[in-house]
Amino acid sequence: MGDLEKRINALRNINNRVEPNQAWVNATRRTLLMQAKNSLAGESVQTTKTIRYFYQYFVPVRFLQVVRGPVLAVLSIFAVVLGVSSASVSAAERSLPGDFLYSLKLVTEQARLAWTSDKGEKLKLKVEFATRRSQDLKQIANSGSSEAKTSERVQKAAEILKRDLSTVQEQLEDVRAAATEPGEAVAAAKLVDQTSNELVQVLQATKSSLSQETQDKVTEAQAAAAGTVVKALEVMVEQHEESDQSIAQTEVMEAIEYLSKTVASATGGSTIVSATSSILIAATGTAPLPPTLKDVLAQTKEATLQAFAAVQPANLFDVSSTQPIEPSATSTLEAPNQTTTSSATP
Amino acid sequence: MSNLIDRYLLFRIRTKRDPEAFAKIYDRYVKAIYRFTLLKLPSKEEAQDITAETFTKVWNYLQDHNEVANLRALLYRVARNLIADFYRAQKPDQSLSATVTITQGDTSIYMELEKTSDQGRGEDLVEARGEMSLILRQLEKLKDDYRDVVALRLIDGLAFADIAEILGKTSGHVRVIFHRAIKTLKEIA
Repeated sequence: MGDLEKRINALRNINNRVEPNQAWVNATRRTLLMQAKNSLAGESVQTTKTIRYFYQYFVPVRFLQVVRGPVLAVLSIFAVVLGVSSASVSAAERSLPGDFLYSLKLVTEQARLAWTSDKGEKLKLKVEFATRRSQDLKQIANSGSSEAKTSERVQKAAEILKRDLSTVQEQLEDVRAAATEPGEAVAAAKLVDQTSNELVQVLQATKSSLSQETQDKVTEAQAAAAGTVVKALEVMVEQHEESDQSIAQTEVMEAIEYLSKTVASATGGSTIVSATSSILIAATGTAPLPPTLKDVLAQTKEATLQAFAAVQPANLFDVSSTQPIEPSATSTLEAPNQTTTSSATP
Repeated sequence: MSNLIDRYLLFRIRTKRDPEAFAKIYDRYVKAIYRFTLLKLPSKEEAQDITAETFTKVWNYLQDHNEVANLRALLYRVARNLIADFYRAQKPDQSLSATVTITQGDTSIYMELEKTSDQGRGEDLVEARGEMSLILRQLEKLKDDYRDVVALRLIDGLAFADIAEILGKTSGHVRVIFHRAIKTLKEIA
C-alpha cells in the first residue's frame, strides 16, 4: 500500500497546486454576487452598464468555441434572465396597459407580492398596486393618444383594477382572521378605506375626457372600490364591537359618512348623502332603540348599491365577474345613461 | 467545523437574505470544485464554465429549498451531474473518451502547473508529470464510479458519508467500492 499511497499523495499534492485563473475567479464571483443580489431584490433597478459588463464577460472568443448545447443554453438563459431583471424593469415601470412591457410590470409586482409572506405587508403591497393602477389609468386618460387606443387601454386598466380590488378585499379578510394584535385589523382596514376612497375620487377625475363606454367601465371600477370601502368599514365596525378601544364610534361614523359623500360625487346622486346623515344622527340619538353601527353600515351599503345601479343596471358589486358587458346589455344602458350623464356633468 | 460554517452561511442566505454569504460560499468552494471538474473535463475553459454553472445552479436550488443538510455534497453532486450532462451532449463517437479525456486532462493540468510553478523547478515538474500520468492512467482503468470515489476520498478528502450523498449510494457501498478500487490500483500499479 505504501507505494500506492505515496503516489496518491503526490497526486493530491499536485492537484492542490493547481490554481484556477485568478481573474476568472474574481470575475465569476462578481457575476454570481450580482445575480444573487438581483434575485433577492426582486425589482432592483440596475443600470445597463452592468448588462454590458456581464455580456462582455460571457461573450469572449471562446464562447464561439464552446458550442456545447447545455452550456450555451444555460448561458443564454442566464443572460436573458439577467437582462430582463435589470434594465428592463425600469422601462417596465413606466409602461401602460397595452404596452408590451406592461405584462412584465405586472409580473414583477406579482414577484414582489410572492416574496412577502406577512399578510399585513401583502395587503399594503396590494393596496399600493391598486393605487398604481389608478395612476396608470389617469396617465392613459391624459396621454392624448387616439380615442380608440385610450379607450381600449383604460378599459383594460379598469378590469385589472377591479380584479385587484377583489383581491384586496380577500386579503383584508385574511388579515382580519389572522390578526394577532388588536390594532392590526383596524390599521389594515383604515388603510384600505382611505386608499379605496381616494381611488373612487381619482377615477372620477379621469372620467371627463373619456367616451361613454369607457366611462361606464371606469364606473364599474369605482363601484368595486366603493365595495372595498364597504368591506373595510365592515371590518372596522366589527372591531369596534369587539372592543371600543380599537376604534372609536365616531371614527367609524366619520368613515361611513365620508364614503357616502364619495359615492355621491361619483354617481351624481345626493340622496345617499342625506340618507346616511339622517341614519347617523339617529344612531347617536337617545331614542329607545338607536340603530347600531352595523345597521348604519348595512343601510349605507344598500344605498351605495342603488346609487351605482342607477348609473348602470348591471351588478357592479360583483367584482369577481370580469366578463365584459354583453352587447345586448349595452343597448339597454343607453337610455338611463342619457339622463344621468346630464346630472353628473359639472 | 466546516459544516458549521456552511450552516451559518446558509442561514444568512435564507433568513437575512444576504447575498454576500453566497459569495463567501463561493470563496470557500470554488477551488475545490474547479479542481474536481478540471480532472474530468477536456479543457480549462470547460472546467471554468461548469464550475460557474455549478454555483449558479446551487444558488437557484437554495432559493427553492429551505433546508440543505450538506452544502459541500450538494456542490459536488451538481458539478458531477453537469459534467455527466456535458458528456451526454457530446457526439456519441466521442464518448469512448475515457482515454482521450484523461490524456487531455493531463494537458490542462500541466498547463495550469506550468503557469503556477516557479521557473526554477523544472525537475519537480517533470517528475510531477510522470507521477500524474501514471496515476491518471491507472485511475482511468477503473470504472467511473470507482474513479470518483478514489478521487473524492483521496484528493478532495471527503468523508465516506459525503461521497455517498454525492453519488447517491449508501456509505457502506462507498466504503466497499473504495477498498476494491484501492486493491485494483495496487494490482495494476
